[in-house]
Amino acid sequence: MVLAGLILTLSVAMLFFYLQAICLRILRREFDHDYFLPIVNANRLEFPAVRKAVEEFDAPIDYARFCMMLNCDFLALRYLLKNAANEKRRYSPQDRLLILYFRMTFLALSVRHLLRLDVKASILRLAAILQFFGNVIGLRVTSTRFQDISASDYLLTL
Amino acid sequence: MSGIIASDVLSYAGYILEAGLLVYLLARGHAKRLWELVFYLTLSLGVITARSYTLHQYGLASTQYGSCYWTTDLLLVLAAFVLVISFFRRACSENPEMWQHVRFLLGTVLVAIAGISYFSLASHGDRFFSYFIVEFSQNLYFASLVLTTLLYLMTLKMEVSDERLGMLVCGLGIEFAGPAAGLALIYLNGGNEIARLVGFYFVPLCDAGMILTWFYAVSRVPETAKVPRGSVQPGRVLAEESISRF
Repeated sequence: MVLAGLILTLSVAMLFFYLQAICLRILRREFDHDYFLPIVNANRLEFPAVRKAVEEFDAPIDYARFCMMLNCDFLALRYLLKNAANEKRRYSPQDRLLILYFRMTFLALSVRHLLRLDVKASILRLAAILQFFGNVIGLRVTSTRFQDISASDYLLTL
Repeated sequence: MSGIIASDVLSYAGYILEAGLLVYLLARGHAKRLWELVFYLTLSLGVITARSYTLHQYGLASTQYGSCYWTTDLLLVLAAFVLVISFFRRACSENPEMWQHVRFLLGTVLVAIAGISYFSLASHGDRFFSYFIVEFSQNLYFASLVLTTLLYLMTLKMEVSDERLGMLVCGLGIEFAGPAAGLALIYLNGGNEIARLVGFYFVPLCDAGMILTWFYAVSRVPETAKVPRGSVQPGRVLAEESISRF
């Protein structure tokens, strides 16, 4: 009974460990350009500023404000993932996995804040996920051929 | 009833994914480099065929189906162990001295598991295809899970440049961790409703998770990782412009 309980606990822990490892390995993917920069500029996303503030300033973290900024960026990028230069109008399995990972990390951030633990690592991870989303969208937009059609022509094809 | 249908849908989705990955590996010419995946997938599909044939011929309650099911289960576990060994070999490809130690460790684990099985068989010889096999599968799965975890940590420690190997190991880890947790839960709950749910949904989901991870590893992840960029993140350039708002 004790052995079975131990195996259950360790196996569940390992399962979550591997799922997180897969997400982190996906996030480590290198893009040949910083495709996320135009997306950030065009949509006035704030996660680079949040990351900068957390990484380089030793000031106390404005938890509520940072959470709001990251969450708003997440909503915007999630919409773009589904609709920007995406003919299928569906999330890919990779997108779905990382969206779930963002939510789980956000939940972990809330728990850490409640327990008064350091939240910097979680905030940086959330920013990394958002940057990856930005890169994916930027890459899609760059590689999509709009040919010579105008904006209204494109909208009429939808 | 709906649980059984959902379970069947999940299982068949897993079989289709396995067959799809096998075809992909063969069609893209990865069969030689990733022979261990081809071996495991071929055996897995063979096991599915053998089980379906026995089920069709003899029925679910027959002893023939029971024997076939548990024997093929053992075959799959052993094939997975071979997979773990081959991944270790791949991870140690640039470090032959390490491979000597790892080979000794793997041999010791195999002998230890064989010894434990022998004693379990001696004490439960009359219930070979019920009590013993379930416990044996749980122990072997758990041993493989521990070995896979060691392998993953080793790839991190040795900074193995094969990114694809890391992803393949993660997939294998999901395959081992899920059923190991499921079997332990069944043992703790004595086969009640939770155990049924685990059998119906959890194990096929873990199978599908492994195959999808392998698909991703084979199709998207390059074998050799790029050298990571320096500590300066590209986002900082932009962040420096917009930091004034703080």
